[in-house]
Order: sequence, then structure tokens, then C-alpha cells
Amino acid sequence: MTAAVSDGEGGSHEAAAIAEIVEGSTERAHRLTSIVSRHAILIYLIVVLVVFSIVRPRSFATFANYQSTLAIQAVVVIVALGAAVSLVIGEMDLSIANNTALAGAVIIGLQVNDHLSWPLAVLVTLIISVLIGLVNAIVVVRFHVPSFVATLGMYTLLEGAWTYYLNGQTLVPLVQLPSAFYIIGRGTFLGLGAPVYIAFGCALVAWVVTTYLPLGRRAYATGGNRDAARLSGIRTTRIIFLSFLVSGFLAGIAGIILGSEYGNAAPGAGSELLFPALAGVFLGATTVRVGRYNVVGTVISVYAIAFLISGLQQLGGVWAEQWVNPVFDGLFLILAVALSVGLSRQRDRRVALERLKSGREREVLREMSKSTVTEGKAHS
Amino acid sequence: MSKEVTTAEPALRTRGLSKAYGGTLALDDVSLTIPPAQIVGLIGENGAGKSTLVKIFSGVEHPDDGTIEVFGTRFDHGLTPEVVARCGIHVIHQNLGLIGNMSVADNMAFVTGYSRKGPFIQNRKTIHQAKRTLVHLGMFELDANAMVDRLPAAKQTLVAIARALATDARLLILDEPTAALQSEEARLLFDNIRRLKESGVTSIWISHRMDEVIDICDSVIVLRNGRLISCENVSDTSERGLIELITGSSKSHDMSDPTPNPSASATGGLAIDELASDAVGPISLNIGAGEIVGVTGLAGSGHLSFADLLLGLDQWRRGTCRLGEDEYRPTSLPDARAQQVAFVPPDRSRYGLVAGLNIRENLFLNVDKAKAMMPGVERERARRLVQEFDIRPPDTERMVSTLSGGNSQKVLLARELQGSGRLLLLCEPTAGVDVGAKLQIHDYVRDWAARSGAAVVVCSSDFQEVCDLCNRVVVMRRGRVGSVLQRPGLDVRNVTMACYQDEDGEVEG
Repeated sequence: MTAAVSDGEGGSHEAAAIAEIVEGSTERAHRLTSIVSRHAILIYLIVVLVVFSIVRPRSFATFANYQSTLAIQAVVVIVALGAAVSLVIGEMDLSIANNTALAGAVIIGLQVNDHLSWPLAVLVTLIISVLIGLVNAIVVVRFHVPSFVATLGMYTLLEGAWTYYLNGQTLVPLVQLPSAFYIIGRGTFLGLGAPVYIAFGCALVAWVVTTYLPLGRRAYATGGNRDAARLSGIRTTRIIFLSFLVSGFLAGIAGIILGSEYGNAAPGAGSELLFPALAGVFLGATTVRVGRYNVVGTVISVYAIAFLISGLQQLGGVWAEQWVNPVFDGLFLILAVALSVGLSRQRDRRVALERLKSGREREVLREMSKSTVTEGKAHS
Repeated sequence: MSKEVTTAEPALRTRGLSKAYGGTLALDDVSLTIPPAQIVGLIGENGAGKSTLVKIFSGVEHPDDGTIEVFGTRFDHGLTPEVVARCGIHVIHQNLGLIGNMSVADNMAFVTGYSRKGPFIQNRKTIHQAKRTLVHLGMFELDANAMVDRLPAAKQTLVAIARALATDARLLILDEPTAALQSEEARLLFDNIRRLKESGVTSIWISHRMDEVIDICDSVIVLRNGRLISCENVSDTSERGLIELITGSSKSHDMSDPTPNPSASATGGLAIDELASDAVGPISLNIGAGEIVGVTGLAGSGHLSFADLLLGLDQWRRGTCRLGEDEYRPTSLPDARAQQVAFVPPDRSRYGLVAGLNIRENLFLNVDKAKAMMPGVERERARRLVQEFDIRPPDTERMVSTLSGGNSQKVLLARELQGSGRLLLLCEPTAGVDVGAKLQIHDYVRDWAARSGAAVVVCSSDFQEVCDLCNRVVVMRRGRVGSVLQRPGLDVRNVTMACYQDEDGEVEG
């Protein structure tokens, strides 16, 4: 650097070279930070696991703890996937949590009150949940009600529905339900609970569809720019319908798992899942595929939040109190959105800078080729 | 500059005003004088520099060179929006900037201030104040209580003018105020502008309609390619004279790249027969296989609705269409696409590309089921397209939002020109694209047309573009085919002439 300065005129070449090197290294540094920031949530999850394992080796760092957190959060993952499916297409499905709660009530009720066999009860429950998604889709697409309002209305409506269905009381089966039914929520295989397999199965399918299938591409296009998607020949209304049906279906699965896990139907079990699920999806959009609602990020984020809360609770004292859960769910929801907004602003700034740079290059090129360009139009 | 009207203190005077964008001069040494209490027309082709001039007068752009004098005060380095407001200049844009779901009185009060008692708005007094202003301006036809979006378009323009004048504007710049108006509606605007002139308000009237300019303006300024061509009294001129000034009567553009006429084959091609929607038509036109036909016209002539019509986005009221051997009657866009119709929509950021996705994903936005999206395969195909269409930087994983206008347009083009097709519709394919990319895009379209044998329709407001690119050019007027120009004789001047031609063909090319 000093050489370049002292060299005066001849040094301008060197200065340029140095500038290039500096730029190159910042480029590399930039790539590194981008990798780190892309996996920030995963890194954070690992940090949480390590820290709490050290602080609470006897309770946190136990297989039983990991196992139960994974299993308990499996339902959250499924609900979060449902939320992600609607967010990808640019809509929002808030009704999923109470759809889950209703499904959890219905799956028990059908067996206890209506004496349906458990596979039939599962089928009917799923159909009901999908129909709820269909109603959402119709209201949003055909009646042009903003999905936030439509599904918020449905959320409350469904709360009424399960209250009515359960008559405000916990429905406990008097006779033991078939043991096959309990496998859904309680079974274990290779040390992991069945819900974990179901959740990861759903996540796997969702991941393949969103990243490797035309349907996923069309969904992202629909969410990113509906007009452009429509004009490129995508049947956007069909995509929106499908997305609401899928989120309803996932809510149904989550409800069935809850019913099987608890073995009874408590009013409102499942409706508290909305916020952790949304927090997971929003936080997920800040990682893996930054700026995009994505499946892998969602799964990682759900567990990142869950393990932090579980770790805190095991610290005991105030942290074990009941208020911790909702406070952290809320905090993460806000934090996630703030983070993603911040990241996209940062990206915009970088783009603007790059444009400025390439704009200058273009201007030079244009000066050079001025003689060949005969006539141009002004930007007026 | 035949006759410059000069008075002691002109409303606006510029000396040697110049402005360049990139390599092109949008304004080239423009010196003009706008006398006070006059209505001055500002005319010129698309891209002649009118908008740039308006931007400089409204303070959003700064001239590279030259001075501006506003009511006797000289500014050497251009204006700022604050200065413009202080000097009493007010631009009435085509988008009037009114709040539709509020009343006329509210809209006026937003700029003049509400009558208040303490922190509370006094509604009755605010309305009274608005009424007084309207009466003072002689706008008796405006009801202060009316909701703005329930008013007809001409009255909405009046609201915008009233709002401007309520803040002591002395110079109004009206940017194509009648483009969206019926002629009776426009009359209302004329009367008001004339009356305001009597009370000392100066107006600059920008328009494409020559009859209107002659009717209402005292003098007229003509711009061509960024240069001031003429500044003359309207009484000295005729519609035809103005058109010749706009186009440059003696100057004829040379055909920089004459496209050979394709052999019109019997198979393929598009035959449009008496096709009409509510907005445009009836239109009859035959386009041969491999032929590139331009559709152009002035703003509002319907040349941009042409694509909507052919895609079936505008409902067909009557007429039929044949694409090759088959009847073509798209029921929806996917249906049109299934019949191998490709479409490059206008306004790529709004209708074309998905900003949150990368180049590869945008190239294969609507992947059909047969083509798997295997990461390796897709990336390779994207790489090939990026190379073929010279998209820079050649990084398939880059977000399209980071690309320049030319390169994003190439992405859009590459997406639509994959494989074969029977009909290609392009809308403003090079709007906001730099000159180099524009030439490339024209080449790609030509190559593709020759290779695929599809009928190509280029809907564009850029006369130079349709002349360079197309075998034939359809000039639309009032939603119908005005004239069809062929080579030889296809140049910007003739196209412009055809735009201004009367229904009965008074002005000839």
C-alpha cells in the first residue's frame, strides 16, 4: 500500500492490483460470513445443546430429554409445516392450530361416542381437517377475503366447534382404545417416538416437493409474484387451493398424534401450537435458504426454540415457571421477523452497491462503444 | 426557434439545458421561454425528452448543464422539489396523487391544512373552506363533499388542479391530462384551464393530440431527440405542420437492419378475423409463419391491449382466430400456453419475473411435469440458456432482483424462447433496457422467429424498435388497426405520421 502511494503516477497500476486483492479477500470473507449466516440457526441450536448439556448434565444431557423433546415437538413441526405451506404461496393459515385441536377431539370422539374403528376414525378426522382447509381456500380465493382475516375467523370458529363437540369437558375413553391406535402417538422405534418419524416423514415429502418438484417451484412463484406466475401459465388458484388443503391435512395429522399421545381429548389441546409453529417458520426463513420459507430451516428452528425453552426450564427457579413458554414463543416470533427483515434490507443494500458498481462499468463500456451505437432512446 | 414570445418576467426560462442518461442525450441545449399567463403546449414523440424536461422542472432530476429561471429567479444548478413548491410550480401527473376514498375537501385540506380548534378537526369549516376555494377558482361543477373516486376522470383532474392552486401554484405542468379522457370530458378541462389563464395562471400542456394543442394552447414547444425544434405561436401553424415538426419532415431514418421478408408459408401463421373485445377491435390481420409484426401506437391507442386480446385475457366479444390449421380460442392463459403460445409480458418486475427466486428458478418457473427438476440437469440447462442469451453475470444461482434491466429482460426472454412455439407475443420487450441489450434481444427474437417458424407479434411503444425489428408494422388508433406499414417505407417518421392520421386519412405518410 505504501509503495503504491509513494510511487506516484506509476503506482496507480499497483493500487489497482491491491484494490483487486482487497476486494477479492473481502469477497472471500463475505462468502464465509454468508455461509455462517446461512446456518446461524443450526449453529445456535448446537450451541444451545452444548451449553445446557454442560450446565445441566444430569437432566438436559440425557437421552430421555432429547427423546422427549424431539417427540413433543414433532407435533409442532407438523403444524409449522402446515403454516409454511401456506406462507410459501403468499397466504397465511392461522386456523391450523384449532384445526389440530378439533382433530384431536374428533379422533377420540369418533371412537368413544360413535364406536368407529380407529382406522376409520383417522380417515374421517383427516377428511374433516381437509374440508376445513377447503373452506379456507374457497373464502380466500372465491370471496377474496384476505387469508389473514379468513383464517383468523376460522381459528375462532373452530374453537367454538371443539368446545361444542367436547361440551367443554375432557373426553376420556371409559374402555381402553385399541392398542394399535396408541402406536401413532406413543410407539417407539430405534429409541425415537412414532411422532418423530411421522413429522420427519412429512418434512421429507415437503422438502422434496418444495425443492425438487415442479409443484414446489410453482408454489414459490405463486407466492413471490402472483401476476408473473399466472402470466407464465401457472394455474395459481389451483396452487392456492392445494396449499390450503395440505395445511388442513397436516393439521389433521397433528391432531391425531395428539389424540393418540394423550389418549383423551382435552378442550383446546393443540390450539397453543400456533405461535411456536409460526415462530419456527419465520425463523426458518432466516436460515438455509435465506429469505425463503423453507422446510429444513423450519424443522431446525422449531427444535432450536424448543431446546432453549426446555433447557431454561431445567435451570429451575423462575425459568421453570409457566410464563416462560409463551413469552419465548412470542419473543422468537418477533425476533425471527425482525431478523428476516434486517437480512433482506442488508441484501438490498448490497444489491444497490453492486448495481452502482456494474453501472459504472457499463458506462465505461458505453463510452467505448459510443461510436458504434447509432441511435438510442432516452429514459423518458 | 422562430418566434420567442418575451415579456418582462417570463414564468419559466431555460438556457442551454442539457441532460444525459448514460450515453444518450435526453435533453440537448434546450433554451425556451414560457411567458406568464399563457397556455403552452409541449409536444414530441415518445422519448423526445418531454418527460425529462418535466422531471427537471419538478426538481426530481437535475440538469447536467444550463440554467433555469422561474418567475425571474435564476437557478444555476437545477431545482429541488422544495424550490419548485416555493416558486409555485405544480406538476399534475397522469397519476393525480389523490386519495380516492376521501372527499374533495379532505384531499384539498391535506395540502392546505385543516381548520382546527385545538387538536380537533372542524369538519364543517374545512368543507366550507374547500367550497370557497372552488368557487374562487370558478370550479362550480365540483362538489366539496364528493368522494374523489366516484368522480369522473376529468373532475378528478380538476380536483388535482384545485388542490395545486389552493397552495398558490402559479405554473401548472399538465402531463397528458386528457390521455384517459373522452372528448366531452376533456372539454371541461379546457374551459377551466382557459379561465385560469385569464386569472393569471400559466400552464404547460403536454399532449399527443394535435387538435387539442391547437385548440387550447397559445404557443407550442416541439422537442425532437432532446432538442428544441420549434417554439411558435399556434395561430401560425396547422395540425399537419406540427406533425412534421415532431417527426422532422425532411429527415428519414435509415433502416439500420432490414429484416428479410420471410417466405409466408401456407402452414403455420396466425389469421385474425374481426376479433374484438370491449377495449379494442374489431381487428383483422394475417401474420405469416416466421413473420415479425409490430403493433404500435400512441398511449391509449390500444396497441398494448392487443396482446391481452390475443391471449384471451380480454374476453372476446366477436371474431375468430386461426393458428396454423387449428382454430385458436384460448379460454385461459394456461390454455393459450398449451397451444404453444409464448408471451413476454410488459413490466418485467411486475408481470414477468419473481424477484425472490434466482435466475435458474425464473428460467424454469413453470416447469411442466415431463421435465424433472433434477438439480444437476436443471442447472446445466440453465447454464446453457444463460450462455446462449448472454445473461450477465453468468451465475444461474443469482437472484434476479440483482440483475440490470437488460439482463433481467434476457432472463424473461430466455424463459419464453425455450423450445418451439407457434405464436410469440412480446410486450414492450426492451423497455428500460440499455442499447446493447436491446440489439441483442432483437437478434434473439429474429433468430427464434426464423428457426421456429412461429408468428411473432411485438407490441411496443418504441417506434424505432418496431421499425428495426419487424417486417410489418400495424399502427393502432382508437383501438383499431389504423394503418399497416410495410417495407420499404417503414420508418419512424411514417409510423409517427400514421399515429396522428385522422380517421379519414387526412394526413398522409
